[in-house]
Amino acid sequence: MQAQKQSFLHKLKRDKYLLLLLLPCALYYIIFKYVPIFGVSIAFMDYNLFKGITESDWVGFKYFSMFFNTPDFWPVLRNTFLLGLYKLVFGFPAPIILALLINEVSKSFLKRFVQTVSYLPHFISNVVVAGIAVMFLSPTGGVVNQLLNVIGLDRINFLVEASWFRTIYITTDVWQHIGWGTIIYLAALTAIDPQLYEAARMDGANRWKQTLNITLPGIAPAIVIILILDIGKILEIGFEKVYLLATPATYETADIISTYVYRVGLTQGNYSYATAIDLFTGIISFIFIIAANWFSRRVSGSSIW
Amino acid sequence: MKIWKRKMGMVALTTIMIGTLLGGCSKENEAKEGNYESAALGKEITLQMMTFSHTNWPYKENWPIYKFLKEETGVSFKVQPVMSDYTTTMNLAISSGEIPDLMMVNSLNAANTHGASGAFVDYFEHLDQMPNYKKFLEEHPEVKAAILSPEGKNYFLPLYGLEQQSRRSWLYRDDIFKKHNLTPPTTYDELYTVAMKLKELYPDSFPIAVFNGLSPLINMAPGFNTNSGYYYDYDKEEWRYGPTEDNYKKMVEFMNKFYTEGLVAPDFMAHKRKQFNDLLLQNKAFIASDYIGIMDELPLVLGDKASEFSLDYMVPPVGTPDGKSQNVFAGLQSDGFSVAANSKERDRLLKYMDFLYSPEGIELATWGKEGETFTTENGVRKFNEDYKEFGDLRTKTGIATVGAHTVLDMTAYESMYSPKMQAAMKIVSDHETKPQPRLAYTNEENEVLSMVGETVKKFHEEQIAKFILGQKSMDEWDNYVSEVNKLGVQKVLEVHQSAYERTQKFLNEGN
Amino acid sequence: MKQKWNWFDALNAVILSGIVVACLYPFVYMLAVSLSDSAAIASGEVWLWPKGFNLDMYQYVFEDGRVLKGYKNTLIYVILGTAISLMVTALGAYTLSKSKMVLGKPILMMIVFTMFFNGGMIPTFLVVKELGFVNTIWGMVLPGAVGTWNLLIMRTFFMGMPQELEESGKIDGLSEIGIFFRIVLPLSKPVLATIGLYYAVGMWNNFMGPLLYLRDADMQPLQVILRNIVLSGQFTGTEGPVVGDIVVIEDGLKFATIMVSTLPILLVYPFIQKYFVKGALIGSVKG
Repeated sequence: MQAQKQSFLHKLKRDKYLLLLLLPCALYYIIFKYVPIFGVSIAFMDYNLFKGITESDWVGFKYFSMFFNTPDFWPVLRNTFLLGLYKLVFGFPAPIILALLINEVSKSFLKRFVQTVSYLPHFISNVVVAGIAVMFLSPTGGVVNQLLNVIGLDRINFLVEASWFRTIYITTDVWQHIGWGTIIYLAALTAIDPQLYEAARMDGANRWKQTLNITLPGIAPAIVIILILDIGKILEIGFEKVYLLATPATYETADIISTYVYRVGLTQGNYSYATAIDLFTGIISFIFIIAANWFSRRVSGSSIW
Repeated sequence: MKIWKRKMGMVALTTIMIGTLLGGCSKENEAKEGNYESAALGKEITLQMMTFSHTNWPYKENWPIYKFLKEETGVSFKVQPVMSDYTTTMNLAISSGEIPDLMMVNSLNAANTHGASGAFVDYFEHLDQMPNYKKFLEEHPEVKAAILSPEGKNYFLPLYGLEQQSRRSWLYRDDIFKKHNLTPPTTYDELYTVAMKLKELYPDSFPIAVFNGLSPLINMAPGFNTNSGYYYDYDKEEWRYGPTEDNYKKMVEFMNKFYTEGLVAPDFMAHKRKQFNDLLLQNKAFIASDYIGIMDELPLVLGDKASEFSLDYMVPPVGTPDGKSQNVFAGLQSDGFSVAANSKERDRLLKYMDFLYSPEGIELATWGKEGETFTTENGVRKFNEDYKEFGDLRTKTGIATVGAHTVLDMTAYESMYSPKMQAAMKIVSDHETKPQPRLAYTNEENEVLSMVGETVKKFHEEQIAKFILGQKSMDEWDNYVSEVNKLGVQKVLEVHQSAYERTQKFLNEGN
Repeated sequence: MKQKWNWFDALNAVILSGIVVACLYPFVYMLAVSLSDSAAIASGEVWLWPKGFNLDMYQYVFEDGRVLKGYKNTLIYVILGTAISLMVTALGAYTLSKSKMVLGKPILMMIVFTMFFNGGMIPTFLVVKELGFVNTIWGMVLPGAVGTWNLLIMRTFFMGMPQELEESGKIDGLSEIGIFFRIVLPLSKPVLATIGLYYAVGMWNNFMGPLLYLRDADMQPLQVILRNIVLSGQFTGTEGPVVGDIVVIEDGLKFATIMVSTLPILLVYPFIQKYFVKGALIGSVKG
């Protein structure tokens, strides 16, 4: 014990400059994240805004059991999870593929052009995105249905068919964020030593082989970390776009946790219930990220901690 | 190093905790008696007010209306204008213990919840200081019934007048109807026939413009003598749930027919206002159910071509023999005003608010000041020529914006409408439902409403949507009724019933 | 570098052209609508090219006064906020990238923990208020200064840096502080540019912050003003009496506002792009 303590103090002394550099960041987390974290206790109270946390009554797990017992619980959880999962399956690899494709463009002017244009949709607000979706998917004048018509398929009333909701959501999501997501990978590409490519070419490796053996391993750390973080975000699906794209006919697939919270009026002031639901999804997400991190460390050797 | 950091954390934490506690303490002193002397008019004071500020007439410090009010009462305001997410801003102010003296609250429920915890003044305790407000409530018992708390108190000063602007109505393209020699329908059968006829004339069209999920059903329901939610049946004197009634089924059958025949846009549920406007403006829809105001507002969009487009008021069609030719009238506005219980100038402020309910106050809030905002010719008042329409008046003067009035005399603004709209406004109230009672719910009741009520609502909307779209056969209606009942319709009805009885009891006691 | 134009390049060209069209079209559409007259928009004639070209909407937006003030405020917040965020994040990411550092792992765990558990809006607000940051520029730039996602990404990049560099720094007698400022930072331009861009855009688009922490109309950033113009009425539809709010917001105005508020940040990117050259890092090491 004594020896351990000794070495701990020794390490502290050894790393004093590093710890000094960490200080601003640590202070930030303490002040803005850990001091307010007492707020999670709201989930176990009948929180009264005016009385504040110190004066409100404790109610234990009341709000948790309320959430678990509503008939909406399972559908909402399932829809959130599935939507998040599909978002991961399609939304995660898309920017990597696009980054690799852009990387293969040899003319630097074209490269820049494609890159710049591809991240434009990131700046379009969800309201406008939903508006564009309604316009494109209209069963009467919409481009998509006109195309279906041309190739001899029946028109589809996309926005009122529950089975189409996830496809529409994921498609617009990929479209919105594919270009923006490439930035991180393109930054990672800058760290690859050009000599590696030259050596590979000497060995007669074609472009596919080069991509597989040099480019991908080069950006692998970035890929892994983003995958782990994305897995942690599976249940985190924003309210706005879902709300804008959903119709009563698609509730079956479109009602998710955040729309439930909105629907039940929790944004209007029932902070206890909303916090309880938040805490619940937080626990699940935390489990997800710990599992992903553990798995990644076993398989790829790289991990967050 | 680590220890030092922890210390820092503790220091920060304690600072915050102490701050929170102090905040709590200052709140406890709020019940202290106010200073009556300062209630005398004359001494000029400036108070804090938080209010909603509309994008189209954003708050300006130099609005003349506040100047006029100050001249009259000696009270002026440091305004915190909130343009979006009002609920959040309001809740933060309450939670931080820094409640402005006067605050707009955007629901009766919010006023009651925070009022009961001690944040706001109960006006009923101060009615002796507010004779005009007292009189106003006596003259408008329906308003009084809609502003009580579940304990029979009153933390919510109602706004009165502007709700007339947001009336719903049926509208039709009178120019197109005239061109083809069609008459506006009075029943749903006629509506169906005339829409079929229009569809024949304009195959690309969806003659009936409706949008936004199932909200069109709200205004259709009176024609079938039902309601799209829980409602008080004034004839039978009982609370009922509309969406399981046979009449509601008939309405859904009509909607299904409209959908199948292409009389409404196939994706109308996904349409927002933009798509709705586009259909009307592009001559692809000729009959609409919406706010009456679009009669004047929509043509403005067309600019020079406005003369080729005309909407007019249509008497609501009737669907069943017991149906009523009525639009839904929502009644009182949801916004109101609350006075902070710990306001240092509480009595002065109550007096100020009371002034706004007095005849002079209403006149001032409605018209502004003679010679500045209006003139009188031959005993008839007229707003200055500078103000082109109602919105323009609001933008330039602040008249009829939230925070600058409680009661407005809406007849003053009639001259600013188009002649067509003026004519419509004269008959619109003959075709309107009596507003549903607005009740005050206890916390337990609110929980039932949000938990059971929302589950029921979601299921009902989903099922009705499927019936309308033909994704579900009407044969399964009975099945739907029993399913939705199983989710707890009765429980929600009981909440309404008991809240209603409670309100009635308070009203009767008051007399 | 000579490689033949083969079937892959052709396919790649087709795919990328498709993406370019899909990503560019909405902007072209919005631009066209914002430059057309309202009657042409209402009649549905505008889909690619402006009809009845005019600049009325832009004139309206700029005459609004609020917009220009919003611009000024946003610029201040973005510049100051990005500088602070980038500094604090880089320092944190660098230290935490040293796997041998004492307490490194538990601290990382605690940081990841905050991604999923937080006190929520009101407790955070109370903290900011106690610090006296409400209605000050600090309320805008400090409460969100470090994004955990950005921190972890940056840490990954620092971990990938060649060890030899730091070794050589140590040999030259530099402390960790010296190594960070003299060696690591200059070599991290691509990742600094990336994360800086993320912070800048995040700050540019921030509307929750000002809503919570700013009171004065004079301090509001562009995004709040934009949101007030664009979003009003969107979430109300026909439900509930929204007194006097039944105003038809024209698409032209909406899109002009979007253009005015997004174009500037789009123009920044080409300047950042020069850092995104393959082998840039290695090249500079050698040089």
